[in-house]
Amino acid sequence: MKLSLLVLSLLFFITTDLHGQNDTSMTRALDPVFVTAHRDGRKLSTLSTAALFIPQEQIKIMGSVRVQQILAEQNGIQIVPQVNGLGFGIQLQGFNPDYTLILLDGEPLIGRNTGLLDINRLSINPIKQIEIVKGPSSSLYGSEALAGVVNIITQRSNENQLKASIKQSSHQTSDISVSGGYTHQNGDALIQVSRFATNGYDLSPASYGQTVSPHQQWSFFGKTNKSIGKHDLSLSARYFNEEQQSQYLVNQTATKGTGNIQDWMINPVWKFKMTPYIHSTLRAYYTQYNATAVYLKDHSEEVISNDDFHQSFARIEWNPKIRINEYQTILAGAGLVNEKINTIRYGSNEPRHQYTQYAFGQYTITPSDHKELNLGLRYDHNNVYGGQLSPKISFITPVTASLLWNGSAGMGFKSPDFRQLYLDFTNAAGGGYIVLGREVLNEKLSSLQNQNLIATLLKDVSNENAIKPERSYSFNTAIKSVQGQFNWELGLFYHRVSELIETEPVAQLTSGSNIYSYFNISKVRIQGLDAQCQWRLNQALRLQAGYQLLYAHDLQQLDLLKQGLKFRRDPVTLSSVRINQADYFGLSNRSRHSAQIKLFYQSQDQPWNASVRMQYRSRFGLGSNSGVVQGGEVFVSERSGNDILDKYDAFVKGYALMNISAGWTAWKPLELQIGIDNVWNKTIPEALPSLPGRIIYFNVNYSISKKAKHS
Amino acid sequence: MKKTALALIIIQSILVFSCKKDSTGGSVAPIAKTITNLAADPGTGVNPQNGQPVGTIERFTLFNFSSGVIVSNTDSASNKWDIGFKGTTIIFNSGTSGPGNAGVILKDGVLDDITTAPTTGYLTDNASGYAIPVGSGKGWYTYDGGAMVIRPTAGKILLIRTADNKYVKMEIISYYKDAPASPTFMIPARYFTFRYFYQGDGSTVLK
Repeated sequence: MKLSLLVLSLLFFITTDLHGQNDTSMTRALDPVFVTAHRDGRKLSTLSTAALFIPQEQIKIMGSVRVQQILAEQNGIQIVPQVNGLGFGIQLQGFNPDYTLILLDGEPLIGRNTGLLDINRLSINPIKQIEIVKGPSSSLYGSEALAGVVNIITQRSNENQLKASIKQSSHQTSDISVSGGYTHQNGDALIQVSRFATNGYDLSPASYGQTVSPHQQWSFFGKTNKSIGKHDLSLSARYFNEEQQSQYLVNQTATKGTGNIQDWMINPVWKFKMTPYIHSTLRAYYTQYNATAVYLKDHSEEVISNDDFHQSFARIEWNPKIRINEYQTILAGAGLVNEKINTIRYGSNEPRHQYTQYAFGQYTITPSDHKELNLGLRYDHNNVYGGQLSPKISFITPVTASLLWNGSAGMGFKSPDFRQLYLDFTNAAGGGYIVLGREVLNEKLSSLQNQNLIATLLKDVSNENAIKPERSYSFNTAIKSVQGQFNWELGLFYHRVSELIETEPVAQLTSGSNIYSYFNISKVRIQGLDAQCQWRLNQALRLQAGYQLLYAHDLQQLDLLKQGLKFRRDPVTLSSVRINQADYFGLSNRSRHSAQIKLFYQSQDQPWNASVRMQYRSRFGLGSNSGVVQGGEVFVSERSGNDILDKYDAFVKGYALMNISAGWTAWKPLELQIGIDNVWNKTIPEALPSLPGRIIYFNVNYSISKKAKHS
Repeated sequence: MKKTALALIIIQSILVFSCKKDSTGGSVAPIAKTITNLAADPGTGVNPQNGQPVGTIERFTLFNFSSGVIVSNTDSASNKWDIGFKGTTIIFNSGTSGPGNAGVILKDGVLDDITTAPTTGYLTDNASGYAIPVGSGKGWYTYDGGAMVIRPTAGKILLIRTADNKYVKMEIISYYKDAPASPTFMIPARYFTFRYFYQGDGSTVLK
């Protein structure tokens, strides 16, 4: 038996005949192809980089409709609040959300308003699989791919089908989705419409406003493919609209607001098999993200705040692939990106641009079935910060008959975002301090100096070079077993990130308030271990378990600790006491230990399926920037007055969650599912607003399909 | 005679010794003290809109280390004060702030570990800025933007030369009324609590 076949059947043999598409799902489960790691199909079992693969069958059995929820249950991923409290994102291998690139069918999602993409915008209905590459992937994807890449791959229609699903859950949340697919000999098309509405929830009812405000979302998605001889053409498009009604306390004033988010994208792709050995892909992508919000004083028409944010991203990329022979492949690419933002947050509505040109190449040699070496290199040139070179090397090789060893080393980078370049913000309510992006700093500073508003310069910025991208280099390695009913994987990771951008005061105004700007300041080291195993207990039962050990430290703080220059306050006398290196816990919002255990039941003979999934996260600290928790007290760890999280600070206690689900195929086209997320009703309002209490849901899926002739 | 002389010497040394021990004694004795709730222009209240103080009079509270008491602002042009507080801003009696010879060195350390005062390196307030720089993380405090709280940075020791050339070591413990261990922005701010050690004999010995 082929080794890979065995592994894959063990790992992902969660078949389903619920849709009458038994054949396709079985085929896929036996041989999942992972595309994100090398932008080219690879068998998951012999992937040279650390990765997570979530098949559609598992998503279904989990009863989740939101990408965020699915990701939250994966090994090495935590859902963490955005630095400014606007939405949540994923922490992958200990990195903040904005260091993971999020792709939809290989194209980046935008709308990282202030550094974070709200993945709640994605409803999962047409999703085929989610692929997660752990470790830097800038050698293929450029900026943002420091921690890794999440690629959400949508389903392509493979039969004539009509599906409808309704999910009703706690907090008057409903998700309704209808999709239709058409498949013909040389082409197919799929269209999906979904509506999500929720009343939100409130974890601190005593205070004004809800933790999560009511919102309604509409999303439309369409995708079509057509083959004409050696040409494959595809076109996909998406439109999303969200309305939100929220109540906030703005400087103790009750306000009522409405927010609107719209995004849309279009993505035509032309693949041309020039010869059996040379394939060319040309892809274009345009997406736009618009967010507007108006806040009025409650019970009056007085406008308290007005926000307006428009972002667009246009990219064209040519992507040839050359198969030199049976063992060697070259993948190359070159592209142009034009990103534009205009927002009143940057002082004027004047549009700001970033232009990037890039080229990359990847050479792969596969001497035998389980041996592979990849060499990749990418060069990005940007109008603001200049050039960036991102190399990567990865390999996999058998060590014994039943063990494979893989490893990768690579560099990643993250461009300074628009806010760090162009922000022009005066906090009139909060004491009149000013935050300026680095590209506008000198100009604004001299204008303030001319008006005699500057009291003291705190930092000489006249000779500062342009802000640089944040850089990382990383290593990932793992041993994986490939034999028997039980198999496992044990990996290590190491990231060293430098030039991290932070704010620093540059001048003091005559009013006494400071002017801040962004500078490349800190260095961070993130390292850890991850382990996972899958156990096939019998034909129908699968047990999966995962564990991550994580250490994330600020290197400058470590230096100070080594020199004996870090102190804490004794909680009783409040006097300073020197602290040891061992007392330093590390960066905020990182748990030392996280683990999950999941049990899936799915039989081919029975119309039943079920799952029990538990996750654990050990204690963690929250910095002062842990996010604004709407309508409640904010948990702040700091007790010892020293800028670092040490063992004398306050911690959010470790916690465990349990989710359960059960599904029943009543008769062929109709499937029912019931489930409870967060069975133990765990909430930590002051620290984890992303965690609602117990959610009970009920799902009804109806699908009819007719096999297309050719499949 | 000899015996008497010896006895006198002994008595004298006992007296000197006990003087040193007795912090309330003569002017040459060192003083170790904790000052609580020194009001540094706290104003009349807090603006509920933004937590900023209102009704401040924009005047420094002046303090003398040897007497351990607040000095009237009418004496601002004299040597009677050493240090002044207004909000987070701290001034010293010298340079642009006063006629004295005061100065400060910000040192990272633990108060009890510092036993000798340096004789040079003291900074004074001047036209380009204060001896203790203003701003979070620059001088004696760190501003926590999330909690909207000023925290005296742990391990920041102020080594001070007084207006009349005596040496002091000092640590600021709290910026909030009654020095709560975990202050919030709702607690009245601009009240200093600090520990200090004053060497009155003019030596650099700080123990």
